[in-house]
Amino acid sequence: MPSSLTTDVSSSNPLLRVKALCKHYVRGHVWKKRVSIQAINQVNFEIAAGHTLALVGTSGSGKSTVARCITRLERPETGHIWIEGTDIARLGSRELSPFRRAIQMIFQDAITSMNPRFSAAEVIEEPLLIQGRSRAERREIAEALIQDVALSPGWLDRSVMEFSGGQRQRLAIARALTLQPRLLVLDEALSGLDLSTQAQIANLLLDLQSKRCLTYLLISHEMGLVARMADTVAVMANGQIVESGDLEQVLTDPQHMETKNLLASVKVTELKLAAGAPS
Amino acid sequence: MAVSAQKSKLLQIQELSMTYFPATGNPVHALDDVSLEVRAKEVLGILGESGCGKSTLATAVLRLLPANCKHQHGQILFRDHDLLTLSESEINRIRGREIALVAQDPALSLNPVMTVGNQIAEVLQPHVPLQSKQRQERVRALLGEMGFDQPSEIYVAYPHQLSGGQRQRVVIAQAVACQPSLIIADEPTSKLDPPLRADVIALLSRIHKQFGMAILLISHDPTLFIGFADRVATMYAGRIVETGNCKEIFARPLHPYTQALVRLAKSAATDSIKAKSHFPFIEGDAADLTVKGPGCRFEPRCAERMEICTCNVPPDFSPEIERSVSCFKYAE
Repeated sequence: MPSSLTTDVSSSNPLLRVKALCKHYVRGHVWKKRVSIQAINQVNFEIAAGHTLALVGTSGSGKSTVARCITRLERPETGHIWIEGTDIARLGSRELSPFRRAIQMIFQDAITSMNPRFSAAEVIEEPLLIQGRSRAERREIAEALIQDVALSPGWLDRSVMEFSGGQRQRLAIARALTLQPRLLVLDEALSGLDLSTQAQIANLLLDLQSKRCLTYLLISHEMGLVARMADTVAVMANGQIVESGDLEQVLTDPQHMETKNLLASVKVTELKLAAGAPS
Repeated sequence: MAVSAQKSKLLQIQELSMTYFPATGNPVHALDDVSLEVRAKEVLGILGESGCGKSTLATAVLRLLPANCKHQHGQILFRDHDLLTLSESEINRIRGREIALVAQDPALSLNPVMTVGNQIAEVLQPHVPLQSKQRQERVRALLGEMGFDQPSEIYVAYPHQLSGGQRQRVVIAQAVACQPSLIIADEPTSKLDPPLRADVIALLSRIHKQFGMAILLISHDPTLFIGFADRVATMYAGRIVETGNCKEIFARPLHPYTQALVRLAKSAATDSIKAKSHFPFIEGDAADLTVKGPGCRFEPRCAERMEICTCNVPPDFSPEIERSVSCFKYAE
């Protein structure tokens, strides 16, 4: 039943199309019985170029597993992941490398995704180093990128440990942009930040999207954030997409219990604010 | 002040200043002349962005700060005893028994190689004289009160077998175990998703009603306090900038910083949002705690700054009863 649902994107030529994606993990070890856990089951969706799909759901619903399959950090058992027409679900590591450039991921916790001994410049330049660019070229690109994320080029030689949480998330965005990707996977990239910092980073992502025609897969449980950033929404529960559609439609006319619950938690907050603070 | 009001004060922090001296770099003035009181049985919320000193304040009360954090001046009075001058064995009698801490990340505050039941029993052991059988019974009863359907199964589970929300409930069970008179909850919901967040706050609220202990709730999210906290204190750059009744603070914030935070929280309401519209935010960067300027710490980001703000630190003004705000706008 849920497998027949697909995201309603008007474009006929999606940048990313996912069909019947399945992934299970095996838990247990030598002494215990092995248990197979179906993390995602028959997931279908697509994102048009330049658009944002928000994947929402409670923790443990399989959102991050979808992200890890699309970035091919995990190999899905069955299903297809088409990036601009090529199915990358089954590719080996060598054939994957041009696609690794096209898809970049930004993680929730910027600091654990960076080498703490690196300077900001090293963090941003690392992908270029892997691609074999010259030192001068790397520095030039890093200087341009750090300004794109509204940090000062004078800070390139500082250690990443000297940056605040919000600034580190900006560095993570700069690093993700070095190879000029077409799709950014934002796995809870804005959670755990203060409201003001979160707003600034979200604004930066919106600006970058319109400037560079980026496509976002936004994984989040903050409906307020989703309401501002997404074009389409897909709701996940127990490893399946239970509801999907245009942002407006999902927000105003939720069908599935899971969506209603997620929206209810936001509504309670709003009611509380309205009661506590008449404007 | 009336004698009865004096009596109801459980914890009094007076002009407390704490500074970190890192191995490299400049000293960080995490707390700067903080004065605050927690009354018996009340819920006090501390609101502020990360890096403003909220967690330093929480850990300072239990004297759990790292060695490179030095006490500059001030007192922390708990039932009229200064916690900062107590001996290690005296403070140990207060930790867990009188004041308990619920830390931010339950995955980090639980021991990964010990069953959660034993970890709760471990809190009871030094404070409550019980046979080990009775103690196990007590822990099971406690787990039941935390909303677990099968306390016996949870008792023998290891932290990694529990979900984030379950772990946080275990940590709360640890805090409640000895029925302390004060629980300090430091961002207890920041690692949880919104439905679980509501559950944890509901649980804290139930515990508060049932046991009547005071709760010091620390968060950067103003919506957490509404309907739960009695009073709220806003913190900015190591200073308390506004305190008052929770309802009034959110209905009519006085300090420009509190005003900005409340505006941000309101803007996150979904029905007022236009798709692909920019989010409002507070201009400027968070204050640098290594620099101690002569003026108001919020002045560089403040839209209503005046000449006096750059050269003088605003004292606390009290424009209304039970309200104090440190901003020259309210100078008499």
